[in-house]
Amino acid sequence: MAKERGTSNIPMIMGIIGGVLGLPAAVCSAWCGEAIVAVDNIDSGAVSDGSTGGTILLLGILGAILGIVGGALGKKIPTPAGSMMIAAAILTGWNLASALAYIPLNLFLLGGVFCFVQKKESIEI
Amino acid sequence: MYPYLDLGHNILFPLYNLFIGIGIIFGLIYLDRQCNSLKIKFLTDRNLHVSLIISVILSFLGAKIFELIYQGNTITLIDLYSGGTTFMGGVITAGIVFFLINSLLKTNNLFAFNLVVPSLMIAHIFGRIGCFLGGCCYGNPTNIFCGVKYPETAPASVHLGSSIYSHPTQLYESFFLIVCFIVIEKYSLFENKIFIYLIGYGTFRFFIEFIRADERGQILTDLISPSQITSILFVLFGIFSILIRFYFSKKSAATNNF
Repeated sequence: MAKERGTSNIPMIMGIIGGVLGLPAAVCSAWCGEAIVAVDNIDSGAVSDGSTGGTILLLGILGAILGIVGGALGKKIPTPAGSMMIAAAILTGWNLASALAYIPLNLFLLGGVFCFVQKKESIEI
Repeated sequence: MYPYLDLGHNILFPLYNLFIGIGIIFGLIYLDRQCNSLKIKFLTDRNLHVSLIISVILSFLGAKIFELIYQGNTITLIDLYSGGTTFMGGVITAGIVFFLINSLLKTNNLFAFNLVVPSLMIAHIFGRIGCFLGGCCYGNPTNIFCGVKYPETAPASVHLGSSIYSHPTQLYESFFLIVCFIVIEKYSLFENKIFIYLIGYGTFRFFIEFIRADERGQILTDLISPSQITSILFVLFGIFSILIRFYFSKKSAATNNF
């Protein structure tokens, strides 16, 4: 039975660099998100329960992990890995409260596209 | 030392994370080359990558949990977020997870461990350079020529004083790992790589801990640090495993002679 595998290291490089930067970006975005909520609540005097920051943090971490996994498997299973990286880009894009998050977002997006369009080779298993 | 690269527009690029990432990338590229040169089957190669990447991700969690235990803190979500990490905890967690997943996927565990050890060392070399740039894992004050003075805001300067030169223990470790990598790749048998790494790194880590000045934690005894206890276990495990393999190989050779 023949299988297809990728030949490029670019998705791996983009996924891992995006992932390791996505983690601090998630933390940063969570802080910024909470700060924005606090500023919005100044007039009403309401106190935030931290759920906004928590959700942003969780989504950001999930995005970073998906990006790392997708990147690392970009050569072995190109199509599922590409889908994972696009999903990671969507999750990271959801969290654009911090400027740092733009870097992993672009890296995941480009890495995901590279996963799909990279030169593939057929191998016997 | 130089924890962030300022990209402008209030974007600070954390160099510690970047170097960890570079280490993982070079580690994976090296693993890929090894798999190609050993002509490993596609399915084994794929399973190996899946188990490795899950182990790496969970190792960060393990590294945080072990550090909390070493420091005698409670394990809560906030502590997990704010606490530090320890390499020994990470490598133990990764080892256990890697072993379990390989067993599930029916991959030869000894072969898999021997295959990934050089990649682990490459990632660790870069990780320690990241530590140096981040200013963590610093050493005791020293007057020798290679002593380094950290910036005023670095943890080493806050702890030891801003005008104090201290041992760059992170760079010592990187240098040792480079030497260990060359020895393992050039002179070691493939089936002994993991054990030689455990003995070599365990011994080095045991001694380097004496010149580490950052908070080392305490477990069981205050005579040696938790990392030194783990190092002793690494060395003992490595020596016993090599002896057992040697004993069984001699026994099977003796049986084959009859």
